[in-house]
Order: sequence, then structure tokens, then C-alpha cells
Amino acid sequence: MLRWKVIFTVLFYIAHTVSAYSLRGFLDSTIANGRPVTFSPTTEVVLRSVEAKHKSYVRADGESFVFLNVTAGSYVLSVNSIEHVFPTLRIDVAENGVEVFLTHRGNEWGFKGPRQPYPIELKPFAPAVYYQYREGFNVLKLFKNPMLLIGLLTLVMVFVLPKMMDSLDPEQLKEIQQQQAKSVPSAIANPMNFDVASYLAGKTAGPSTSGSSASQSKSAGSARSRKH
Amino acid sequence: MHVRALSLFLALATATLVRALFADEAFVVDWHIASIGSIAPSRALVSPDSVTVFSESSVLASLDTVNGTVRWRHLLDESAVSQHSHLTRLDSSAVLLVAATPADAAITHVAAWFEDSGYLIWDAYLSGGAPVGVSVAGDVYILLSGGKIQRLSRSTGSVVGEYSLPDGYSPVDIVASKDSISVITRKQDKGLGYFVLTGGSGELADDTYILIDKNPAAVSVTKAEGYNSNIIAWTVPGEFMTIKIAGMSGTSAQPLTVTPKAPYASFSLTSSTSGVVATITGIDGKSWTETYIFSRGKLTLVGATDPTESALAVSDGTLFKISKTSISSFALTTTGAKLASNTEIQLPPSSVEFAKCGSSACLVGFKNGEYVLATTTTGVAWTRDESIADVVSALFVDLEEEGESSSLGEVLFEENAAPLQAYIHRVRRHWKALAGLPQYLIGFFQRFLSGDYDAVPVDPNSTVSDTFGFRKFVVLATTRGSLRALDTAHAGAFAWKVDDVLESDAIVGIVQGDAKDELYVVGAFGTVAYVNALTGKVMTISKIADFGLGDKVESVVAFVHDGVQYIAAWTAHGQLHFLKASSPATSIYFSKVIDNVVAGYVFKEDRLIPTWQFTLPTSYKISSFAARHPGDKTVSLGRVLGDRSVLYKYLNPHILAVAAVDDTTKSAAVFLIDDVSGRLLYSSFHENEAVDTAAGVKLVVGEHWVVYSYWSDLPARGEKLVVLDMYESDIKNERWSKDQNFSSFTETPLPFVQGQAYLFPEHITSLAVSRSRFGITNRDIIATLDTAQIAVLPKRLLDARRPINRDPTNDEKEEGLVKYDALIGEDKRFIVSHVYNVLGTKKTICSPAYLESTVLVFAYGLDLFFTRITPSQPFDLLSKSFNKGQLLLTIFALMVGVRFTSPIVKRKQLNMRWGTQK
Repeated sequence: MLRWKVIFTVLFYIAHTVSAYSLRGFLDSTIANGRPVTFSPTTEVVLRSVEAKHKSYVRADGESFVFLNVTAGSYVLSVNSIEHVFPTLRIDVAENGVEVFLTHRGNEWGFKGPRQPYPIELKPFAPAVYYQYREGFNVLKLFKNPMLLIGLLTLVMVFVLPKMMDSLDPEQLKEIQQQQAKSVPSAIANPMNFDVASYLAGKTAGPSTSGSSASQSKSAGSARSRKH
Repeated sequence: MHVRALSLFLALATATLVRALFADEAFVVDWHIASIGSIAPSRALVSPDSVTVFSESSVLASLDTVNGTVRWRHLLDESAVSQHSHLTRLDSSAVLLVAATPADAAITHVAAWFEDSGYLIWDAYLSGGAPVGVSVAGDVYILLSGGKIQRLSRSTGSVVGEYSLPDGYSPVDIVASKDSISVITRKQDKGLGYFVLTGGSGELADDTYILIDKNPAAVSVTKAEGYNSNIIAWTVPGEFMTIKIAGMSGTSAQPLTVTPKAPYASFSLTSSTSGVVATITGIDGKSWTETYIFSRGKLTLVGATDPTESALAVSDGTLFKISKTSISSFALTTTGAKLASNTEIQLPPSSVEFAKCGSSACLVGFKNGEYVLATTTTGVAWTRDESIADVVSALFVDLEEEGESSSLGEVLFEENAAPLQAYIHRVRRHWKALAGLPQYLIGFFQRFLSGDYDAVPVDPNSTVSDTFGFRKFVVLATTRGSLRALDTAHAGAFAWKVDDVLESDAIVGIVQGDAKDELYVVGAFGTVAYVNALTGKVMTISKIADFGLGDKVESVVAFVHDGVQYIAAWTAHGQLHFLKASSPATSIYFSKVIDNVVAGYVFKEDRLIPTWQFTLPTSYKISSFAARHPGDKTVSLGRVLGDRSVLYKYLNPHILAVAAVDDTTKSAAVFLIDDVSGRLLYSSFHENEAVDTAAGVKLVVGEHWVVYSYWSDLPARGEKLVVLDMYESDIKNERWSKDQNFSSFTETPLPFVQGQAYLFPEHITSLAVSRSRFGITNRDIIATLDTAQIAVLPKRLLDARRPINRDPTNDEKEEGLVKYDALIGEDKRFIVSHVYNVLGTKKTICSPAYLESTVLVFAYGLDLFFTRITPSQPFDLLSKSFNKGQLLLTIFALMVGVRFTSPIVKRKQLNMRWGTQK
């Protein structure tokens, strides 16, 4: 009876002391963007497999962590941090030592990633970004808008083009107008007098055609203007 | 063509599926209440700078003594069972938590924490049982239930010595002082004695065993450290006038008997320079203290206080007396108690459970879950309500619309009264309403000028909703039998509180009646209270009439049948008691998950008849179950595909999704059952995946889909998120429920189920789905994570029709489908709880706002978190960035432009007509 008890006690100790390992590591707080990274005391380092879950907290030095009482097996190591995004590591704990690999989500467990040094070293990728920012009023952005550009171009056409035409030599102008009259319908050639209604009605606006009285007077005007 | 262009535009507009919280909305649309849980006096340390506790919810936290805010906290895995966890002070700046580990109660975890910052100093694991006693004197001494004493270095936590009790001695407690360590034991569960170990040099050595009492009947040992020697006390059962006390010296122990002046119910012992103080609570509930000094091997009573109903606590030779209106401190001297200070305070009305005092402050716990820190100098420093950390059930309560409360009844009166009377009434009503006109006008202009509806804040004391229905009450039923209403528009401030609603019956569930303000509260022993949800007033309270003896209410069932709402209590004996509306005339079918069986019932002619049973495959155990929310609305029967054909949704309101796990083979399964007929509609098994069965399967059922998640190791390690979309047929435009509604009783074809699985980065602890007012808005899946965060994923992202291994075709793009990617939720912008540390949330509830775009989300468990989400963007609300000034400026500029250009145009036209252009 006593012997059995001794054996059980011995087995108990084996189970609880021999197969338990401890892992050491630290969160890399070297300077990023000119500022050293700090880790809040709520930063948790989690070591997990289906069989076991171990949670460790950042030590008083603000970066190191220790897992005690870890049994042999293959674990995922992740960091729960509000402020930073950390890589995920695969930790294989066996009798002959600890192996650390960089892993990523969706990686088949049979494939080990690149080997990492031990003690475990975790450097945050980036600060965690939870927000999106509204775009304020931006003049440059406004001018990138194609609608605005089209509008501006139209304005230029309306105001600047007639002035340009005026500055031309009357002979030259006549030449151009004659050329235009040959190639395009006069209504389009002279946008200021363009009669939309008659254009849509399928009639070619010109001095010879007479639709409504308004179009008549307009075309008369245009006809006369040509005489200059 | 036009439709195609439009849908393409929509698809493009919503192509970016990552949608984050706007920085200017953070802390505005959301709030968070950090809780710690119920505090036990044995695991609370009160010091001038902080109150450090290890709560019943396994939260180790340090509270600020000035305002009661949480300085830091950790949700630990260690069990908070009082026998297995000890919180003591390590030194002036650190605390020590010794607790059994969750996985194995035979292993003890010892951790030292900085009290100011919450950083871990050191920790250690000890094998040999759960901790029985802890004592700090130079080093840390821990007595384990296996009979082992471990001595740990105070600065590093490394084991510097250990000692095992001889066989036959069971450990009771440990008391360490500078020179010697006394391990109190019982021999063969009979004799009470202690071992004196010398530990000066490091190694613990068995010195002497001293028997105190040969035959103590009950050993509920109270120890006191300090004074001249350590003191223990124990009781003799059946004798309420005897307390045995012994000082533990190195050579011998002489048990002494203390005879209190009245029979006691409980006592505690403290020791100080002036002597031993016993704080005794009598069987009549009154407390008093008796101070003794040791002189020549005898205990001499030197002073006793008068019995009082106030709470008493002794700390460092000071007696604190806390009544409802005052806190006084007394210096305990060898001549008795002398009043040192007296401060007037106002304490909550609930009865006091305990008082734990530090040097000048007392932490007072109340029965309703409130905790007060009262100091002898300033009175009440703060009050924390921790009842909201243990929530049984929660629901949203809609508030009255503006003006509704005052006028609805009056308008009804006017409609029914005689014309003249009605006219007079109306004039009078309008005259009264005129008083509010100035206020209304001011508010109107404020709103008009700022362009912001929040410009006129809603009065926190009113029960009126705001313009968009963002203000609601969240009513919480707590394990302490109380109700709490939180105002969503005022950062979760208490709108009302009611304690002990059911007159010491435990709340099982709360259900809202037909009216907004009707709230039914159902207790375990058949007590039903009807509470006004807007004011918290208990209207009526009654017992279920024919409630069976020894029966217990297990859940509350609410359903609407033919426009009538029924509320019923389901009991352990399988009874269904109708609480609201008499039992229905027609047959009502429903199902229950009892232990490991899903059972269907029909309630017909006042009788409950079992109809079907769904038994799980052997060795499977039910992990969770879910059904669609009855208030969830469906807008479209089908899903329009890119080529204008339709896939018809399988819309069955009776789908019950049941998830089960098998511990032996590490597999999981999900079953979709029609809960009227018990027919199995679909099942999916995850075998050979090494599923984390302890974490279980999390489920949510939407309109025609089920989403569930589980953690597994194979083939890729991680949290798997699975979506099952159900359609009537896999053939486009084909629909078999064309002419009539289909019935569960007819043999209808099984749904066509399409599934897809994704990998999610974090562990999911619960799932929920958003619910908008009319159901037009897209759905979002809300997941609480074990990283103390809450994520929101668009359901559109979890779509079984996403094309795999190829880019979507134009038709699919129009449908809004994006290429399948197994990895989901990598982006932190899915986290709506942003920088909040939302610990321990277990459940999420949703409620629609008045705006179709907006859904109110509330998560509870330990912490409370509230936010508003807009799954399809806030399409019916002007965005915060909308620039009213810019708009007005543009209009003004256009007006000016028109003013200037119109004469020019007019002149030009005139010239043209006259033919005098230029």
C-alpha cells in the first residue's frame, strides 16, 4: 500500500515537474518612427494549442515575458495588444529544446515557417489603426474632379473663344467661317445661336429654314452677323 | 441597360468592404463601462492609494481611492473560488495573488504584481495542490492542500525551501513571523495542533509539533498575526458562547476560552499591539468587539463595545463603525475603545454585506452589488455598482417619442368626447403646450444654425427618445435579483435602479410586453413582477398560480401568434405557465433544448404534448443553439443575380440551428432542424479537424443563413468562420413555394445549402447579427473576441457565392461578389470597440434606431459596451463632415454670379435681336 503511494507520488512529480518547460521572450521595444514603443501592462502574450492555453503578462521591465509550466507540444504564440499588431509565432516545445518559427494564418501546420531565434523575440509590425478619417475640404482635390474640369473648360469656351475670334483678322475669320460652313452645319459652328429645339426636331438650323419665329429671328441675326 | 448601370455603380460603391469607425465618432457614438465583478472581503486590500481586489469574476484590479476608476485590471484564468485563491500584500508596492490554476486544481499559480502599474513582477507554479494558506514574513510561505509548504523568495519568486507535512496531518493554515513559521494542522482529522518550523537560514526544518486541542469538533480557524505571538481561534460546534483561542509560541500552547457576552453567529480576530480584538456578530445580527490582552497566560477582557446594527471592521488597532449615516473610527487601547473621528455620510439603502478597512478608509459592500469607499476624513469617496458585471438577461427598451407621452391619451380623449368638451380640452391643451414654445424655438434655431440634432441634448431625466431613436434604455437583470436601466445616449448612466425586484427570488428572464413600458420579470420560484420599463416602478408582483412544489422556472418563452403576444414560463418539470394572455386556443409548436436532447412540443387544449425528439449522434454534446430573431424582417424573397435571374431564399422561420461537439474525437457538428416537425434540414460535420471542444461552437441564424465559428488545429490552425446560405433551389428562378406559403407539415424539398469557410485571426467568444428597422439595410455579423474587442464583419463578406480561385465575372461583380479569400478580418478596422478593453463580454444584443441605416449594438458579460453601427453606410443621415457653411456659401456665390451675369446676358440677347452684336 505504502509502496503504491510512493510510486504514485513519484509519477505525480514526474508528470508535474519533468514535462514542464519554461519559455522566455521579450517584446521588441526598439525605436520605431523615432519613438520607442511602450507596451501597456494589459498586453497579454497567449500560447495556445487545443490541449492547453497559457497566458502571460508583460513584466515590470515593460517588455519581457515568461511562460512557466508549459508541457511539450506545438503552440501558436500571439499577442493581445490594443496598441500594436504583432506577428504570430509557432513554438514547438520538445525534450531537446524549443524551436520558434514565424507563421501566418492559413498556413498548413505541417509547413514550418522561417526559423526564429530563442528566446522568443516579438517585434510589433505596426501600430493598430482602428479609425478612418474624413476628407476635409481640399482645393487641389477639387481641381482633380473631372466634372469641375469639364465645367471650367466650357466656361473658357464660352467667354474666351468669342474674344479670340474677334481678335482675328477679318479676312482670316471669313476664311475660317467659310471652311466651317462647308464642313459642319452652321448651327454647331456658331454655338451662341444654336437652336436646340430645332436641332432635336431634326431640322438643320439655317437661314433658309424657318421654324418658329424665334428661330427665324435668331437665324436672321446670324445671317446678318456674317456680313461683317 | 439603365438598371445595369445603376447596379454596377452600386457594386462599385460598396466594393470596399472594410468600413471603419470615423475618428470623430469614436467616444461619441459608443461607450464602455469597465467592471470588475463582485468583491469578496477576504480578497480585497485597502490602502491609502488603492483598493486592490481579486473579484469573483477572476478579475485582479486596482481601483483609485479618489474616484473609484480602474487603474489597471487583468482578467485572469485562475479560479476565484474563495478556498483556492488568496490575495495578500507582498510589500508596500506589490500584491501577491496565489490561486489554483484553471486547468489543474493541483497546481498553484503564484504571481506578484506591482500595485501602481499592474505589471507582473514574478510568477511561479507550484505543484502539490491548491493553496490553503499564504503568509508573508520576509519570504513568502505557501501551504498547499497536498501538505507541502513552499518557501519562495520575495524578490524573485524562486523556491528557496520546501517542507512536507508528515503523513496523517492535514493542512489548515500557515502563520509566519520573522523567527518561526507555524503550520496549523489537524491530525487524522481530530487533534488540532501546529508544527513550528525554523526557516531562518532557508531550508525549512521540522522543529516541534505542539498539540493545542485533542478533540476540536469544527475547525474554522481564524488566525491573527502580530502582537506578541500569533494567535489562532477555533470554535466548538453547538456552543455559541465559546470561542477557543490559543497563542502559538515555540514551546507550548495553552488553549484559552473566550466567552462572548452574547451568543454569536460569526466572529473574526485581529491582533494589535494593544491585544487581541474579536469582532463578533451575534445571532440577532448585532455586532460588537471585545478586546483582550494576554497577561500571565490568561486572557483578560479589557474593553467591549455596545452591540450595534452598524457594520464593524478592525484594522491596525482601529475600530471602524459604519452606519447608514456615519462612519466613525475608534482607537482600541488597553482601556477600551476611544472615539477618534466621526464623519457624516450617506450610504446606499441596500443592506451592508461587509466592511473591509485600511488605515483610514473602508470598502463597504452592499447586498445589491454596490461598493462604497468611505474615508474617515471626507466621507464617501466613490460608489461603484458591480451588479452589472453579472447579467442574467438584457434587453433594449424603446422610449416614448417626443410629445407622445403627454398627448396620446389626451388626443384619444378629444376624439371620443362631446364636441364642445373636446374643443375646450384642446384649447386648454394647446395653451399649456404654449409654455414650451420659447424653449422649442430656441432649440429649433440652435439646431438650424449648427445643423446638428445633438445641439439640443435630450434631458437625461426624461423618458423621451431623441430625433433618430439613438436614445434607448438597456434594462439589465442581474444575478443579485436587481434591475438596472442604462441610458444609451448618456454614456450608460443609470436611468433607474430597482433592487430585489422579485422579493428574494432569483431572476430567470425579462421579457417586454406589447407596450413599450411593459416589462415582465420572471423568477426561478415562479414569482412574476410587472415593471414599468421607463421608470422602474414595480406595478404588480405575483406568484404563478398552479406552480408545482419544488419546480423551478428554467426559461421564459415569448412569441406572437395571430397578433397576440404570449409570454410563458418553462419549468424544470416540463410545465408551461402562461403569464400574459391566457393560453392560446390554437396549437402552438415549439422546441426546447434539454440537456443533450432537442425536443419538440405542441401546446394544444391547455396541454403540453411532446411531439418529436432529436437525439445527437453518440458522444456528441450540445454546445450551443440559435434561432432567427423573431423581429428580423425580410424585404426580398429572393436574391437577384447579375443576369437578372433570382435565387429564392429558403425563408423558414422555424429553423433551429444546433451545434454539438465530440470531446473524444475532437469534432464538431451543426444541425439545422425544423423545430415544428423535427425534420433535419441540413447537417455539417467537422471531423478530423482537432476542434477545440472546450471553446465550443458559436452560432448565429439570419434570414436564410447560418454563420458559425469554432477553433480547430487542422488542417490550418485558427478560428474557422463558416457560412451556410440556404436557397429553395439551386436552379435560378425556380421556386416551389410559388403559390402558397409552405408548411412544416408537408413534405417540402430540402433547402439547397451552399457553404464557405474562412479563417478569422482571433478567438470568437460569441456571434450576433445586426437587425435594422425594416430589414433593408445589409446585415453585419458582430463577434466578441477573446482579445477583449468586438469585431463587426459585413455579411456580404461571408457569402457562399464568392467565386473561388478566379476573379468574379461581370455578372458576379454586379451581384456584389468579390473573389474568395480564406483570410478574413485581418484588418484592425473591423474592430468597432477600437481602443476600449472590453473584457469578458459573452453576449450581444441589437436594436434598430428610427433610422433604417443605424443599428444599436450592446454587448454584456463582464464589461458593458454600446455602439451604433451602419452596415450599409449612414445613407439616411448627413455625415458629420457635411459642410453646411460651404453649401450656403456656394448658393450665395451662385446667387451673386446670377445677379452679375444676368444683365450681361440680357444685353447680349437684346443686341442680338437688334442685330447689333458687340
